[in-house]
Amino acid sequence: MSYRIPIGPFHPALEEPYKLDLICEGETVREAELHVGFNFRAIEYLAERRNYQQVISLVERVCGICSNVHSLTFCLTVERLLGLEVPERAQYIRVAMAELERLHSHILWAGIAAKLIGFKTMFMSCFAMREKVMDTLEMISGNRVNYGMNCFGGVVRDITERAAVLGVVDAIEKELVGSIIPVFTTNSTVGSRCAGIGVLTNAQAMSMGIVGPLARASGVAQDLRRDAPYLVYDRLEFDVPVQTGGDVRARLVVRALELIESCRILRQVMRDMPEGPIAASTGAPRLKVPAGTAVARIEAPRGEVFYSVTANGSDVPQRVKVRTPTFANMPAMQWAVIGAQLADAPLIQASIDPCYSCTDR
Amino acid sequence: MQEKELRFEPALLELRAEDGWEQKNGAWWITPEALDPRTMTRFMLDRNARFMTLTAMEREGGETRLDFHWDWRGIILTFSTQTHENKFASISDLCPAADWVERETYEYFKVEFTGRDNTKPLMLRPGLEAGLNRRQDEKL
Repeated sequence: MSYRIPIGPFHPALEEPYKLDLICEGETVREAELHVGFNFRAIEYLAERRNYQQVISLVERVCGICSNVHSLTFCLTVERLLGLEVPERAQYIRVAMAELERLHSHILWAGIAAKLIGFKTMFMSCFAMREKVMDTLEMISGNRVNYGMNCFGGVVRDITERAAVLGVVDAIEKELVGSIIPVFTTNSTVGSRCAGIGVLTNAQAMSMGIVGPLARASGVAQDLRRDAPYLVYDRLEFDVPVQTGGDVRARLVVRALELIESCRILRQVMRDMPEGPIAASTGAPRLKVPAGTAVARIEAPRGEVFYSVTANGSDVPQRVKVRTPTFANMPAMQWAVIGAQLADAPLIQASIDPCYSCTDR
Repeated sequence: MQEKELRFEPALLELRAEDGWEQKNGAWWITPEALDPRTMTRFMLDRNARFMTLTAMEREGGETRLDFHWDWRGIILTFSTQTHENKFASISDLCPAADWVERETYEYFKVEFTGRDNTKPLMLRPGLEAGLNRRQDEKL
């Protein structure tokens, strides 16, 4: 006999509002239905009724964790329509912000995963480390969440404290290598909670079109920073961690190794960032964009963020399309929990690193 | 933004000159005169392309422009087409990645994807009318 367990949309076990209906037989999940849209804000609709400068601030509110990637991708798209060349220094600063944001997102995720595994000490360690990253983002941008760094043609604030950024990178890497990664990869309790749980095969990952660390944990070796490079990523050395297990443990390992790669990238950025202007001039204060459609995408912490912008020559976009990584990844959760134990379902859904703010735009 | 040149020859995908393709603004745009979406989907999946998403945009006369974006070896290929009587054949049975975006496109632009089994709302709550992003009261 099967029974249905409804979880959410507002439930202590969920970080954000969504609803999960689990159909179980005994303790085994046989089917799952996902319901989203509880935080729907019609951001695309609103973006088509604001001027371009206002839309930068608007799209930064798509996500509370990776807000920078949205304003960055929107700016990249509009810069294509404008034919704007972004100064080199601004491109390096944009990379620094993107990698700090990746550190923030992955460390936050590691903390939540530790909590769900039942490893509260690790949760506290991760969140203490996350504070260092947020302090660094605040030092650079003046803000801890919505950074307001991107403008058309570059960035609005310079990075002047290279040594301070490098100090934080060193401290984070030391803690990652010294304690957090070894615990996540070798601790038997963590292993028993994560290994073989919530498997997404390579074929499923390809079929669902999933992106980012979730895809790379299922053997899909794509990272836009390497495979479709933007900004100055083609000048930076870094590896793309890929695992083939497709389970929660593989996702954990991919994200842990990506943290190390982000530290590596940040060191190169601080070393190689040239002197020069941080933004190109866009001319008129109220920007009008030539008619046409452009697209851009970047590798956000959770995977590919894609924007399509259509301009009609006025100061208001005719169409702004936002495809977030969670929108691509979340449907796969309905496959990942099938056959799992009910008690593992919260960890499996968290392992996808879902962002409902992004999904519900 | 500086364009990073990625190597792509339309012949690699067996695209014909009459399909009308060009590279601009971040993607290769393919605008065939008549697009059978299901043939396109099989064609791209057979070449291990990844379906990224679908961008819809309102057209005059109640129609909707549909841009199907695919990733093929790190390059964005966009098939641009248009609805007929604001209807279009669903590809979600061939390509599960298209399921949510078809539901969303119905809610925003009232495009009816024919042949779908699942027509449950995705973003909108019960009682809200589909077609949210159509500019009913504004001149295009």
